Amino acid sequence: MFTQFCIDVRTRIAALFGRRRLYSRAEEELQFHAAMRERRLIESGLSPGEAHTRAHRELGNPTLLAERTLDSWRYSFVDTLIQDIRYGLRMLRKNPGFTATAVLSLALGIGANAAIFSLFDALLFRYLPVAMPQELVVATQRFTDRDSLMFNNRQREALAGSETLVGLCASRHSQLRATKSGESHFAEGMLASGNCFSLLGVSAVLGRVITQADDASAEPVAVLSHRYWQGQFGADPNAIGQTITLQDRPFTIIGVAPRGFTGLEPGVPADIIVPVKSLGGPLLSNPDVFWLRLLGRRKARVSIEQVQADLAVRFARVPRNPRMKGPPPKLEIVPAGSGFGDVRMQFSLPLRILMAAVALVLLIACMNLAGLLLARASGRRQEINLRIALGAGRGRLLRQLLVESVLLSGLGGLLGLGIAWVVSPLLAQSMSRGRTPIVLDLAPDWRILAFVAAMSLLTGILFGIMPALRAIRQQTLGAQHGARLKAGSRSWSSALIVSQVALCVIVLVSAGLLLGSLRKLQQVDAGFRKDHMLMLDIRPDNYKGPATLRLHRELYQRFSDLPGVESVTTFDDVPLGGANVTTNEFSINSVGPRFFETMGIPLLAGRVLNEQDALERRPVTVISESVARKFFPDRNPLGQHLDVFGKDREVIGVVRDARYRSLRLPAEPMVYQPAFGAWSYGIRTTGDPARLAAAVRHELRQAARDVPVWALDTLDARVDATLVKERMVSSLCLWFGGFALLIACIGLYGRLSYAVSERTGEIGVRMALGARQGQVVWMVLKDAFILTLFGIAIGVPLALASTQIFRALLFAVSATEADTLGFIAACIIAATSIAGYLPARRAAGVDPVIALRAE
Amino acid sequence: MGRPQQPGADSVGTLDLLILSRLAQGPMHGFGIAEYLYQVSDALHVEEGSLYPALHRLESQGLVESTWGVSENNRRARFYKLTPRGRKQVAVKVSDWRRMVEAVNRVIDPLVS
Repeated sequence: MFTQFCIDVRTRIAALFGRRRLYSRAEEELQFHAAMRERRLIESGLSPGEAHTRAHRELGNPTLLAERTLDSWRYSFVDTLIQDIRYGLRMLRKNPGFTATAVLSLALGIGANAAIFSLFDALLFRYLPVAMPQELVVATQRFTDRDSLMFNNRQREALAGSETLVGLCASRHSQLRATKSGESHFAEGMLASGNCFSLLGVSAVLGRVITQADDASAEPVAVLSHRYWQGQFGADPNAIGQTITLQDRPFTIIGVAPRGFTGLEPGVPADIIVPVKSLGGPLLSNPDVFWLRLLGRRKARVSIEQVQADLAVRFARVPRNPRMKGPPPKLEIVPAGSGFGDVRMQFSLPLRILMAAVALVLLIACMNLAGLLLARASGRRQEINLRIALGAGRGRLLRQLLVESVLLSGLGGLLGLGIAWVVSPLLAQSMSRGRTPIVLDLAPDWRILAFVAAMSLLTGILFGIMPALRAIRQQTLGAQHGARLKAGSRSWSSALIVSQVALCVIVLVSAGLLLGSLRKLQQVDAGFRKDHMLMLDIRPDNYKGPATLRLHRELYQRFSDLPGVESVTTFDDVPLGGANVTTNEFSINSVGPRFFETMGIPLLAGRVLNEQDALERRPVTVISESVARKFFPDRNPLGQHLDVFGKDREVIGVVRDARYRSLRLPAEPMVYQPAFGAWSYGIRTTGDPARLAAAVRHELRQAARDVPVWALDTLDARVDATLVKERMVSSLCLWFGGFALLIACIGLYGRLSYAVSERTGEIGVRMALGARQGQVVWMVLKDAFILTLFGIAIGVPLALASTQIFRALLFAVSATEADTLGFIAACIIAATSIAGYLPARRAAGVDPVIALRAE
Repeated sequence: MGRPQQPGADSVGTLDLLILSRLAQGPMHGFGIAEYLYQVSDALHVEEGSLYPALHRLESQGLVESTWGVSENNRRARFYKLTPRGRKQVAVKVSDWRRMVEAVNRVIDPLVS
């Protein structure tokens, strides 16, 4: 059976591509036949001449016969399809301008879609490489103002008993200090409860995974990611059994995880996985620390709502820390088959917006394709007429035209795939401006290929069918209806232009508002000077007691002595880095000497904290003005006392407010207490701070080789990093918007050029009757204006409605909304005028004599 | 560009049957098949005009396959032979044909005898 199939395929392929060979074969067979017949006739007594004539007469017209013989081969769908494709390619080659325009605009449209989709897929869609990922759920605490994935151990224990779950595993992403021959670096680590691997159904490719027993006895064992094993151990199988020093404790490597498995958080791959208890012991017993992420697996035939209902009851029963105020958080159970985490949360909305934007761009590009095909259909009237006259079936013609449009979109898709391949890593890079880079697996896989293929086919068919039908219909109705149909096709293409402009308005207005928000955010007075600041973070948790003080003294000294350094300070909370220690009334920042001077936070009254305050642990504090207003509204705060985390402190100074959480939020009420040395250093420089980074790194190594750099960058860069999604979305939207406008202008240009060429005669008459050039230009431009204005009128309300979707990314733009709209409208009108002016000028250049003679 | 019309014997679909049953005896070139059909029955005259399209069609349907070979007088000729599927088709077509002939006979015998 199979060999038969092979023969079939072979002969079929031979027939498809070897028409010439088949033809000569048929000819030779017929010649042979005639020669044999001739010989038989001679044998039966005829003269050679007579035999020759008769043999050939019997055979008939050899060419016709060969043709007919050949026809036996070609009536399958595939044969004619291949013919159509060949013909289509020839047609596309004949119109390089048309082809290039259509293919390029589709390529950019599809490419942008594929690029964004690959990010979307890697971060939000793709299932984790675990068993039955669709059963996984993750618990979320929903506060009034934010969502959190963090739980304390008490909550974990309460939820773990649920009958609706197969099991619940706790994990925590954490950077681990790994030490190798005295030198330390930070590795992306994950603390995982003992049931994690078995619950996920992930087994080791080498060695074994972490078990319940390991976790129960806080065994110092580690499982490496495949990537880390290859990078750090050269994929050596003997790595199993070796020890690796994490946070100064020796851990035994017991296994290597499968290649694709890098933890549960897309974007932040975990390289070293250790049992929760091995490093998180002290935190487990502290009910005030929310630090665990809870992943569960639903039992078979248990719905997510049932899990939610059961866990919510258990969650509500867990006693709450009485110091926590505000309404209690709600528990929400969400599917986690494709992972969870901060990167997902952070970029989910931006990526959705971008996906919508690129979809609109593609829609505009497709409308362009439809417009171009529509115009071309009119241009091909003669050809199609001829083909119908020659007996081409209507279905066949329709298929031919569709094959052409699918060819265009297919070429566009192919090119778009290339574009995506180049662009998506760049996009991923633009996402990770923060401390830890975002690592996404963006290798083009079958999903991207399928996505592009589906896109291309769909656009080709959906937007090719209307022009194709129109092209065929206009023929069958005959010439006398030509004028009416032309008008019909004009209203179609007008509708296309109007929709294109409207879609452009949506994308551009969104981009404009997002850019406006970004600018507003950048202009926000954060309350500190962010220029000329180098920020160093370290985690010297291996230094205890007096050793810590010695370390900080030395670092202070070394950094201050560096040339180009103005002042040095330390602090717990860096502005815009978040507030770590918070009560319900205020946040607390432990800062070193010269903090306010170095950060550029102005003193409003009293004095600042100095070295003596820190070293002698004096019970003093400096408060921010909002704290002063809140606690001492009608008194001089200086000399007053404040309870700071159970310690009575005297207020010695008041400083300006600074923003610690976000540029979007009002300044944090902040209480500063003196400390000497902290995990963050701020170094104010006279020159470019980035140029001091190497020197600072060097000094740190000189002072303490076992203290690795956690983060080292400029404050400017950090502030920038807090705006990374705003910047990414707004700049990409602007690009997409500009591109959309360009495509729409090309469409308009094509539409008007075509109209001008159709109306050459009319224009000639008008000019012969005395119309001035300006009037002719206006006549054509008027069309462009009317279509554009219609488009804007439709687009603006749509754009305003769509901004509701991304309110969360906007900032203080309601005041400037009108300006943005006006500016965008002006831009669009300007762009379309240019697109319209070119054909208008051509119209004005029409020589009436020539135009009329051509009629 | 439709399916070519089959004149003569094949109008009742018998040309394929005749060709296939000849090839069931062994490989043969086009002329040989035509000559055989002519010799065994002068009532069934096969036009060259329908023989070759039929052969090519059978090949495109995968019932026969063909190779170049050498004819009895040392000329290059295209030889046709049955594929396994063609061999099965012969059996089916022959029994179909027999059934049809019997059926027709049953109808006409009482009418004409």
